[in-house]
Order: sequence, then C-alpha cells, then structure tokens
Amino acid sequence: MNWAEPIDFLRNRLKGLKIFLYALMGLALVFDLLAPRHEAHFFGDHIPGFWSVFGFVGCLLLIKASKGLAHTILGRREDFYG
Amino acid sequence: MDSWIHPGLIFIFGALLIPLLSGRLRQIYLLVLPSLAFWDVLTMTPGVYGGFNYLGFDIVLGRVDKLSLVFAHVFTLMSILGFLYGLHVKDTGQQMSACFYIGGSLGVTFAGDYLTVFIFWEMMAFGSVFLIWLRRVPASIKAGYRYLLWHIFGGLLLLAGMVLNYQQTGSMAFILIPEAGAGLAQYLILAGFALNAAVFPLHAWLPDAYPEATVTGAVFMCAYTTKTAVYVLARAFPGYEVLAIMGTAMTIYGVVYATIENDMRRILAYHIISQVGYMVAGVGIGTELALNGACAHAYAHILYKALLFMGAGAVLEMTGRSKLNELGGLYKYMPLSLIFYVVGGISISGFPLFSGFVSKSLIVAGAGEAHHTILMVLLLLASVGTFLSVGLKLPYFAWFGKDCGLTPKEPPKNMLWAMGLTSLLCLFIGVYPRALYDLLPYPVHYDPYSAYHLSETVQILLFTGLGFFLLVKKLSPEGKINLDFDFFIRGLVSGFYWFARRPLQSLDLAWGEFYRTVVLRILMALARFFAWFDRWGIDGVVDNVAYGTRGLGEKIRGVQSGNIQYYLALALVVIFAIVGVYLLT
Repeated sequence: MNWAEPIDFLRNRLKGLKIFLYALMGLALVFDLLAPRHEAHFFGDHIPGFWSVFGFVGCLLLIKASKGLAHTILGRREDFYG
Repeated sequence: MDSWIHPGLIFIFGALLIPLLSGRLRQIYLLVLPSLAFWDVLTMTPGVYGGFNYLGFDIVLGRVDKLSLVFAHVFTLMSILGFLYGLHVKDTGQQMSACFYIGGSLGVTFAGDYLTVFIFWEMMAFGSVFLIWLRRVPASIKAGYRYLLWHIFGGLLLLAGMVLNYQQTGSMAFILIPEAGAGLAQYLILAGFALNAAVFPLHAWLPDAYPEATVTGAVFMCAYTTKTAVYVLARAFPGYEVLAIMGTAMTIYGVVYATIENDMRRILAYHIISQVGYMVAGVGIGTELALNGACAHAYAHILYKALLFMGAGAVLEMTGRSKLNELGGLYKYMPLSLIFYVVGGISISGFPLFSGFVSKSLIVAGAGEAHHTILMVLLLLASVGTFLSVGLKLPYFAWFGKDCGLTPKEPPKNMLWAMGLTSLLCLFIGVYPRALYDLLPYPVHYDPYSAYHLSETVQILLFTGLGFFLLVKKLSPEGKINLDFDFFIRGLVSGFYWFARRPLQSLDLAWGEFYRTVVLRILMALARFFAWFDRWGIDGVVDNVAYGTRGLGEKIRGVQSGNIQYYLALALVVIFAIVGVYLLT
C-alpha cells in the first residue's frame, strides 16, 4: 500500500480539515463548561475556557520570545565555531 | 535466590561475542541478547544480590526493588527496539559500544553502593562516546571529545562527593540522603548526577553531542544517560526543592531552544532537556504521586523520544540531511516514517490515548497537589512548547513545507519495524495506563482520563495548533546556530589549545634549543672524558692483569718439562713431606 495516499487525501481537503478542527475547538469549549472541577488547584481552573486561552497565548508568546532571542543574542552564522 | 543474573553483565560479556559473528547469525544474536536481558528483568524478584566485601567496602551489585525494576524494565525493553533499529549496521564497533553503554546503565540501576555506581557511571560515558566518534566525521570527533570532557568533569564531581561523603558517614551505601543533613559532599554528588541529567547549566553537552552521533547511536543515547541520572536522583535526592525549581526551568529552556533550532536531531536533543526537566521536577517535588510521575515519564519518554530520533534518523539516513531548511516535502516518499514520527510527536505532546498523556499528567498533578502552582503552570506552558516544536514544527518543515526536491526511499525494513513496534507501545501505554502504573514504585490512585484533565489537555493542544498555523511563517527554519553554554566549554578548550600551543610549546622549543646547545655539549665532553678513562684507565688495568698472568704462565712453563721422571720425583717429595708432617705431629 502507498501510505502517501491517505496523507494526500487529507491534503486535498484542507478546507474541510480546517472546519473540522474549528468545530473541535468549539466542542472542547462547550465540554469545558460542563466538565466537573474536582481537582482545581488555582484560579484558572475555575474559569471556563482558561486553558484554550492559555494554549493559544502561550504558543504565540513562546514563538515570539524564542524567535526574538534567536534574532538578537543567540543566533550566529553556521560557521561561527569554524 | 542465588541464581540472580545481572542483566548488565549479559550485555557487557555478550558484547565480546559480537565481532566473532557475521551476517544473519549476528543479527539473530543482536536480538536474542537484549531479549535475554529483558526476560532476566521480567523474572527478577526483589531483594539484594551480589553483595561482597572488597578492601573493607561493602559492594552491592544487585539491589532489586520497585524503583530499580521499573528503570531496568524500560532500559532492557528499549535495547531490543534499539538493536532492531540498528540491525542493518555492519560496524560491530557501534553495537559493542552500545552494549557497554547499556550494561553500564543497568549496572548503575542495580548498584547499592557508590563504588559500583561510579564504575558503571564511567563505563556509560566511555561506551557512549564511541557512538559519537564512530560516525567518523570531523565534527563528531570534536563533539565526542567535548562530550567526554563534560562527563569526566561530572564523574570527578561525583567522585569528590563520594569520598567526602565516606569521610563523613563512614559508609559507601548508595541510599536516600535527607535534605536536612545535606552538605558540600552531598551536593557534589547531586551535581555529578545533575550533569548527566542535563540540568541547567550543566546541560550543554547534550545538544552539542547527540546531533553528531551516528543515526543508530543517537537512538541509544537519548534513552540511557539522562534517564539513569533521573533514577539516581530519585534514589538519593527525592524532595530537594532545588531540583523542583531547576527541573521546571529546564522544561522551558529546552522548548525555547527546540523552537528556534534548525537541525532536526538538535531540536530533539534540546527537547530531551525539556522532558527530563519534568522528571527532575517530579523528583524535586518528591511526593509519592510526583515520584511515580518521574518514573512513569521516564518510561514513556524513553519510548517516544527514541521513536522521534528513529524518525529523524531515518530522514538523515536516507537523505544525508538533517537541517530543516534543507528539507521539506518528503511525505510523498517517506510517508511511513512520517506516520511513525507523528505517533511519537503526539505521544510526547500528551495527546489522549498516547503515552505522554498518562505519564506527564502524574507530575503536573503532583505539582498541583503539593501546591506548587507556579511550577504547575510553567510545566503546562512547556507542554505547549513541546507540541509546538516537536509535534508540529519539525514534522511540518521536514515532511511538508516547501519541497526540497529530494526523492528518498523509505528506510530499511528493520528500521520501519522498530518504529512501528515503538509506536504500538506508545499507543498501548496510552490506552491501557495500568500496564505502566503497576510497574511504579508506589500504588497509583490517579485516573488520567478524568473529564477535567481531558478538557484541559484537549484545549491546550487544539489552541496551540491554532497558534502554530497563524504564525507558521515566522517559524520558517533558518540556516543558523544558536549560542548556548557550550560556548564556554569551547572557549575553555580553545584556551587550553592556546596554552598548549603558545606557552607550553615555546617552553618545549626553548628546552629543545637549550638541550641542543648546552646540555648536549656537556654530555659530549663527559663522553670524551669517559672514552679517555676507558682507554687509559680501565683498559690499562685489564691489560696489565693480562700481561702479569702471561709472565706467570711462562715461569710455570719451565717446571712443565714433559719428563716423567721429574714428575715422579716431585710426587715422591710431596708424599714424603706429607707423611713426615703426619708422623711428627
């Protein structure tokens, strides 16, 4: 079997995939409203959708911060060490 | 009870046979050997074995309890998968050094005293460095030396701590050290262990060396060194606050570098620091739940990190490239490798139904229950970075992204089988976490599949994915490298080279010149004197003795006339003389 076929199958339906993922996000938010909170450890655990915001903002911050570091103090040419 | 066989010795002595075998026979042997060790661990019963007294030290080779068993279990299981992945390799040197490396790691795992720990500790360092050197390119040779320098330094810290600890306590026993009584000696041991766990700032050897190892060697290396260090930390230093904080710092440090690095295997190497950070934090939090988490995460991590290194290694093996800016569009040619890699990627990111989900959450929940709220939130932030760097960025730019024009084939069958089996194990642990939880040192009363934990995880993952695709252009790989603490060790090495080249070498030259002009001349004069003395002194004495003897001989020759009557007369005179003397007295 050519295992690239199922991957191509998905690639040809990117739009549908996107809609599916957005729907999943909505579903996750609805589910979070209903989920019982027995194991709350701090304030964030009481706010519905907190972890969505956390994931999204955390991801953007990590990209910005680490790319910023790479472009200022960390990044060097590949032959830096000779 | 006496029939306990050390699984490490199976590897160490088993290695000696490898170069004698060839072809199919060697391949079978390379699978039977680790399977034997795995079976050995499976059939072990807890207890203390292989104890004896050597020079007044109590040596314990085999302390078998739940903590050592869970690590030995995954070490030997991983060795089967690792050898399967490297089955096509013809270089027996690699397979032998892997055996010594694994043997060392198992030796540490079962050691009950510091001497045994130290000996196997060093064996690991020297076994593993050959997995780097045997790639046989200049960059690996250099990286191997730097790796060795770091580990010798770590070994010295450990040795100093051991000796001081022995002086204080009079015991070499490798046991739990209470935080309250820990002083310089104990913290030196901790530092020696921490270096192998790649704890910041003693971590730089890892992302420096692992990407330079052989394709199959890196799969072994990512499993043993750091996880053996997690084991010894869990054994001796549970509940140390400093470990909880440093571990959490490592989780963030690792993902920041993993997000910006360009080389696939360097991304994965930095990400080991992040993952081992979870385990170190779990050890540092030190509750039963967190310690269970550290062990479970070590177990799960060994499998999926090896799977990721196998996937990235497959690309390197088939294309000869490992830099993301030189890769892309490989999914058409290496789809199976992609699928297996992605299984590793979603396992490490903690997708429900995969192994990371059931192991990482023990540590995060442990942090929460111990009221380390800040640590808990930072650990969750690191899991955002994990999915971002290893789960999304790496596979996206290697298998999708812009097409690099290469048309590689899938890797050899044995590599695919190793990846497939490891993928299955990741899925199995995720679906049936009891199998893992029952191996842990303490009973587990935690259900990862609670509604809230599921909700939390799914939200974090989905929205991290959203963030990635929004900023995917920003993440385009760049042909650059990033500074890290190896900057300093490289500086130290260059400094040493300079010292060797300039002051030392000029001293050497000056001495050579001095020797040639002054010392040599004195020596020549001395030699001439002795030649003269020899000729006129010693020879004179010897010659005169010879002349004297010759003169005496000539005198005696006169007596020897050859006439028998003279001889008879002489004999009679002598006889009379003797008889006369006898009668007179």
